[in-house]
Amino acid sequence: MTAPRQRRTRETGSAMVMAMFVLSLLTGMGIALLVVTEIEMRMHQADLRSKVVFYLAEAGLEDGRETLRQANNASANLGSLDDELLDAAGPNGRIDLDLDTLSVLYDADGQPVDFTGYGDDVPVRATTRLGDGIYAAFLTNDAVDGLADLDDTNDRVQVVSIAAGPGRSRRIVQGIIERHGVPEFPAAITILGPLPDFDGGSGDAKLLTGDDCNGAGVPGLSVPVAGVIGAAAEAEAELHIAFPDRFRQGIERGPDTVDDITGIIDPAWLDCNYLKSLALEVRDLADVVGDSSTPKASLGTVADPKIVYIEGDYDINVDVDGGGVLWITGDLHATSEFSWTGVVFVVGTGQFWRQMAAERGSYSGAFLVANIAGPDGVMWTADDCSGSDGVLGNADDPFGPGMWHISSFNRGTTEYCTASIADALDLFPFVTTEFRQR
Amino acid sequence: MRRLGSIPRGFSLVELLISMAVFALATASLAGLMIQSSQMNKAQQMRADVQSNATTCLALVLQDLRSAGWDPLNVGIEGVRLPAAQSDSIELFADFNEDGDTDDQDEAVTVRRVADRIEWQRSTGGPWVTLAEHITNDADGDGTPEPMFDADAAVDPTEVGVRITAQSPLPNHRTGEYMRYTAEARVALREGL
Repeated sequence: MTAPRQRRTRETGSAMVMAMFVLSLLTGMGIALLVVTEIEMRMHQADLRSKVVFYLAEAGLEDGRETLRQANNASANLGSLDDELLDAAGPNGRIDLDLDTLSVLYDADGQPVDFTGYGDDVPVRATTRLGDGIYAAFLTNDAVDGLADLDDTNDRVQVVSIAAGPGRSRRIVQGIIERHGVPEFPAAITILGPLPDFDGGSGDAKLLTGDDCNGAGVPGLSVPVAGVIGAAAEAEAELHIAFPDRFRQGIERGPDTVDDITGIIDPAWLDCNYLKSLALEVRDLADVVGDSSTPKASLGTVADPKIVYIEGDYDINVDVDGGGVLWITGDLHATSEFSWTGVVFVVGTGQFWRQMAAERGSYSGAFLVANIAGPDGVMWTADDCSGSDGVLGNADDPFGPGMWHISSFNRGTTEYCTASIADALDLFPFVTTEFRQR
Repeated sequence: MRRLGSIPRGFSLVELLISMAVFALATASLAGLMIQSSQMNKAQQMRADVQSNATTCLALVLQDLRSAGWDPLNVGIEGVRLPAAQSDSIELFADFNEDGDTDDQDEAVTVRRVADRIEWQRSTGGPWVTLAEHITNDADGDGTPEPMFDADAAVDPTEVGVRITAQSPLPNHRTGEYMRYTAEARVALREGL
């Protein structure tokens, strides 16, 4: 009775050994796979955390930039960022932000809740939660003026964004913020392209001047009344100067105020693709995007300037005293009194004319006229930028003839004015021109 | 009776042979399993290493690329310089210490791929330091490396793509092929107005 029990015991032992061996082998394999998987997972998590916190910081920068733009647009000093810098300085009137002391506050669970180490500065964007993290944005002056200086002399400031994400990840990014700009306007009326139809009108009670703000602007600054491209265009435009004394540029009078600006114009203005991309940007930024049916009352005024983008032709058939940035892709036709303070882009079909009753309208700022719509006279079609022949890639690209034409006895003033231009361009948003990831 | 009773407790030759054969079969299959598992582990580890190599290198290059052109004093620092729109080297400039130049450490960084490694120089004339090894940049394995940097223009680019393909130092034991992993990103460069 004893022997069989012993045999059974031996068999059981052998199976146990085998089972233990197999189990330990499988366990070893499992552990090895787990270790590798965990390493991979941790690597992915670290990578993800790093990306998340970077994008959080970048979001903070963008949020800060837009908040700054809105604050500036709502302030009394549209053209200056001094008010915003003073606000950012906080009660002690001094910008205390120091990137070395700026740090994150965590709760008991290790989750980021706020930031500290910036004195009594007021963030341009207070601590904001987004997903699993937080960010805040701070405003300082730029290094040219001095980071802590409250006097912004160059429309250039710095936004610092700090973000904290999961796993105590943290990132600071800095951006230099400037207002969106356009190249300088080389003349009071710039007409791009060949043989422009330029006519200053036949009345003698008018004034077209390239002197900055008719002499009230920057002393000594004057530009051509009409700037055109090429000697032939200049000769053509000069034919339509009536009452030469009413065309002024410094000491120049009459035909001498019309110049070939080929050598001085910013090359960007001659780049059709730039003009088209600028049109799209203006459309994106516009307070009013409309068409021929857009009410004239919705255009900006001198007191409340706007960015207005009109797709297609537009008739000014009631009196308008507008201000800001006006972009028309079709023909701009004024049959009633039309005045504008700011910049007017007739870029598309590039045709502007003013008739009879519109004779009293006055303009302060700058006009830019360019016919880039091609022979079909419609913007955003295949023949854009193809000149008059509709064929892309040949010598007459990219402009067709433009028109700036005032009929009859106009009695208004057309003046180049940097202050009016600046007021209009102040409506453009701030952009991040430089970026630093710390 | 005691002697006779002890005989059944042993194994017959047949029993022994059968049990040895069963044991040998089990051991062989387990050994195969172990070898396969070990190879899988090695392959997994290799994949992780290759991936880490490419992504870490990319992250380091991106950090410098994103900050290229940092010009707090507005002196007109050129942010990015490439020999061609598509190339294997790039020069990145920034004025981090706000002194109006890019002469200091980390302010003029050149990154280049040389043979199977990526190296960088953190200041003009400084030493070249290897950033990553086993970089082939041959993502499709056709034997021809793709350019590491792909900009929208050679001069004043507004966007630069970086593509890094790392390769395992040894071929995969199971497949006999090298493992590759490509990490890539495009960076929109901020540009002055």
